[in-house]
Amino acid sequence: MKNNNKNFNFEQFINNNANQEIPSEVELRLRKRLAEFRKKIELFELSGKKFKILNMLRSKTKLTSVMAAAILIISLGIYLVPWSKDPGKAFAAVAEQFEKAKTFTCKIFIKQEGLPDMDQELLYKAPGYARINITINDELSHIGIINMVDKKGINILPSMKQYIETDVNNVTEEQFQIDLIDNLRTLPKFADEILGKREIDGRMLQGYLVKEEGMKRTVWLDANTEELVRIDMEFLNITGVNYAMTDFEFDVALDDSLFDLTPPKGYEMMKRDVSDASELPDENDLVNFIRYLTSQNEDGLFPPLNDVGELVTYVKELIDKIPEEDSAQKEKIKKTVYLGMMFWTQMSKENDWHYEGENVKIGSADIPICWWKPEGSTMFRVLYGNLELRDVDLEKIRRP
Amino acid sequence: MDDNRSEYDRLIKPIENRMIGSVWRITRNPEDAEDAFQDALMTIWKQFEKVSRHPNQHALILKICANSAYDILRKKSRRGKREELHAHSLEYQDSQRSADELLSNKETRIEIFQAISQLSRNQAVTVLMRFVQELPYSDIARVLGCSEATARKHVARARTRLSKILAPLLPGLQKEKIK
Repeated sequence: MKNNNKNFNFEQFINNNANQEIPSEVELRLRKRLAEFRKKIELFELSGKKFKILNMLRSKTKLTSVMAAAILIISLGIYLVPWSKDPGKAFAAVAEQFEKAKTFTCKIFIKQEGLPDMDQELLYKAPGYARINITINDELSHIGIINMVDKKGINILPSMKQYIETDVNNVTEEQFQIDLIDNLRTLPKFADEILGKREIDGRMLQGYLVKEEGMKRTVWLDANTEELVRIDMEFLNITGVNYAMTDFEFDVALDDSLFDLTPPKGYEMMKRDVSDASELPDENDLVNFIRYLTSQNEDGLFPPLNDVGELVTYVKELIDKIPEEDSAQKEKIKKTVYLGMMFWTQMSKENDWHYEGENVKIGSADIPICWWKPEGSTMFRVLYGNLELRDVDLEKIRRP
Repeated sequence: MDDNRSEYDRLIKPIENRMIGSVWRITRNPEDAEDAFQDALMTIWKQFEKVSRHPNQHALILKICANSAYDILRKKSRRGKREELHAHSLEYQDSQRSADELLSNKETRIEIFQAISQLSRNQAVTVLMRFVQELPYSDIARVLGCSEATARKHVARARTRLSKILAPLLPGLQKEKIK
């Protein structure tokens, strides 16, 4: 077997540690359950009468065969109670539709607390081409095209007439925040829960709940036609973000030009290699970012940034104030902001992030502004009012 | 083949030992094993027609067992009952091993299944079917309703995730010779 972890046989590791003799007491209990189950099945089979009925139907005596048919119909009536139409089949059909589709398109509506709502149009073409058109406040803000086969992409920003090429050869899956397409194409054939029916937008829909790592999806099918109508996504580690996917179409004609990575004419390039580790934000980017934010404050206090929404609004106002002719400075600031915000917003529940800089005087060496727990650490990383970073135990993070 | 043979004899009897074995190996606690087993049997009962018509009935039944056991692991994990898991498994230690070996193995087993409970359902069930129930990828793919490549992908992703979660355990164990 191929070992993927420094010659470490992971499969055997788990197997060795999983295998243990079954205690006799446990085996006894479980065999008792099997015995009860066996009885249930045998009773249900009516002690073999089903087969006898089928033989009777072949009988040449008309009366016998009519009686046999009657008994069979009645028995089928009983069988039909547990074996009635399986609503899960409709769900399985949708999962299969995604798996086999050569193309599909849909609309995505994203609601995020503190941020403007976002409309996206997703287009996918097998074996691995995707395009996402993002509209904010009715303006086409961003087009993302990804070639998952060659691991390349391009992000086009129409309002700025700029594009960013991405070379994602070494990017691990974790670096794609949401792999929407793969999640759709690997929708399990059986839902975790079959929910009730609900009327949504004037249509009666049947819901199916799928729970996966870090995410819950509710798949809504038309209760009558069993057509896929909507998928709602909720992310367990990211609060206040909800995706609603609608208007699904499968195997529609999608021209290859939609997935062309050639930059549009007249656009300027900004090269960014996603796989370059130096471009990934670290705590120094956070410090630089906060230093920039405070440099713009005339009151000598750290700004109130109690959630991501406030942060975005505050930052946007600062950037808008920079004169257009000062483009080099603007680009430098945008990069500082971009990296700092990426570091800030990537915090998850596990990091236990806090920002409490509001009304704190800039330069206060003993007052913590923000803190978080890095992955794998027992200590908190704390940024103080003088922009120094220290490792501190949670109990020792004190505010005067 | 005798067409009048009970469906139980056809579907369940040949894999009784594997069903019992896999549920126990995953749950490691008598009450949990019984709960998971009963849930699995209920599911098999409710989906009996589907099970009996499935092209790979035994693999499907084993998957149902793995699924039920996974649900129990998840419930325990959410309630933070590692102490309970730990306490019960103490009763069933192999008395012929040394104390150090026992401690190491018991803790390792707890960590492994705790880690598996943190995987997504698809990944966890695929791992359990592959590593604990030792089913081939073709069977796993068939019961998950996906391609073999997708089933391998689930395992690969699960392996990556498990490696990260179990990283503190791996350096010490890498020194052991795995045959």
